[in-house]
Amino acid sequence: MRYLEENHIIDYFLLFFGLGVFLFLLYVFKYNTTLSLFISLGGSLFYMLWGIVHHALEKRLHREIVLEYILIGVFMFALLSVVIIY
Amino acid sequence: MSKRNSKKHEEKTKVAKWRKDVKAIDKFKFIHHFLPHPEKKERAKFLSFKSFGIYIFLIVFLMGLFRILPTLLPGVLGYASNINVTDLLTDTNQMREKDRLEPLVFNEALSKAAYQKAMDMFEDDYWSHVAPDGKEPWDFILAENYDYTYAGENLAKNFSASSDVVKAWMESPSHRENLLNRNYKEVGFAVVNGTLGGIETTLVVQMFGQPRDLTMITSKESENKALKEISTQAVSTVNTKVLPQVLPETKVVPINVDNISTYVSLTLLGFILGLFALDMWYSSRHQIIKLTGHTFAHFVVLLVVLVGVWFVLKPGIVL
Repeated sequence: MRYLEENHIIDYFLLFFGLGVFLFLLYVFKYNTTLSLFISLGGSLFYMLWGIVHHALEKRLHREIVLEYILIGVFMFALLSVVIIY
Repeated sequence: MSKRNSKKHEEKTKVAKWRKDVKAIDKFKFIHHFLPHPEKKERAKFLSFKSFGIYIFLIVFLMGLFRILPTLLPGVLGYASNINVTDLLTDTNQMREKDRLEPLVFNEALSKAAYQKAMDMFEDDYWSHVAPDGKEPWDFILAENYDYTYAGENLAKNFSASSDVVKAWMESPSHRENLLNRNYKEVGFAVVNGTLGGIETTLVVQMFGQPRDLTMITSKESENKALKEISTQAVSTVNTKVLPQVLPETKVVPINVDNISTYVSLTLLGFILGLFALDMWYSSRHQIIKLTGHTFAHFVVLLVVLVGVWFVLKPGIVL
C-alpha cells in the first residue's frame, strides 16, 4: 500500500481500472472461448505496457525490468489460456 | 560485562554455532529459493526470470500434451458425465415457466434429429452447428420428416451434470434466446458419449421446433410414452441405435482434462502469489531495496488472474 501513497497514484488508478475492465469482460464473455482468449491476451498486453510506461515515467526503465513485465504478462496469458481452452 | 560486550559475545557464539553446522550454508542458500537475498538485492530464486521461463514452459508443455496425447492414445483423456434427457427437459421447462412461457413438449422426431447430429459430429470429428460438408441443423430435422415453421439448436459438451448444461445455456445470450423463444413448441434431446478430437466426452444436442401443422404437436400421452421408453433404455444400457437418447451412465475416465488444467494453474498461481507476498513482507522487514519491477503490482495482477481463472472455470462448453 505504501507504493500507492508514495508513487504515481494515477498510474495505480489506471492499473486497477484496467484490471477491473479485464475481469468484467472475462466474466461477461466466459462462454465464448475465442473472445475469452482475446480478452486474456489484451489483459496481458495491458499489464506489460503499464509496467514499461510506469517505469519509464519513474526514470528507471532497464532491460531486466522490461523482461520481467513481459514474463509476468506471458505467464498470465498462458495460465488463463490453459483453463479457457481445456 | 557491559551491554555492548554481551551483544558481541552473543554474536560470536552465534557465528561459532553456525560454523559448526556443516549444512548451515546449504540451508542459507536454500531459504533464498523462497525469500529475497539481502546482499544480492534479488528476489527469491523461485521468482527469478529462469523460474518464470520454467513455469511458462510447463504450461505450454501441458497444453501440447493435451493436443498430442489424444492422437497417440485416443480416449486416455476425457470428461466424466452423468446427464440424462428427463432432467434436461425438466430443467428447460422450469426456466421457461419462470419466464411465464409454455413448457416445451418432448418430440421423438426432434430427438432423432438431435441424435443424428451428435453421431455426425463424432463420425466427422467436428464441433459446430454446421458440418464440414455443409450440413446444417435443419437438414437433420427435415431428414426426420419434421416439417417446421421455426427451428433451433443448442449444443453442449464436457459437462458432468444436466443442471449445469441448462444453467450454461441460460448464461449465454444466444442459447438463452433459443431456450426462452415463444415460437418453439417442441423439443428433442440427444445425450451421446463418444470420442471427439481424441478426447472422450458427452455431447448434448438440443433441437427446438414448431411444426408447420400445429395439430401435429405431440400429445401428452405420446410424450409420456417416449420419455418412459428413454428411462427404461437408460437403465438397461442397451443399443443406442434404437432410440435417440444414449445411456446416461457415469463413465470412469482415466485422466480428467478439466481437473488437470484447474489443479495445475491454481497450484502454480497460489505458489507464486505466496512467494510475492513473502517477498513484500521480508523485503520491508529487512529493508531490502531491489532494482526490480513492483512486487505489489505483480501481486495484484496475479490476484486478478486468480479471480479470472475462477470466472472462466466453467463446467463445460456450449455452442
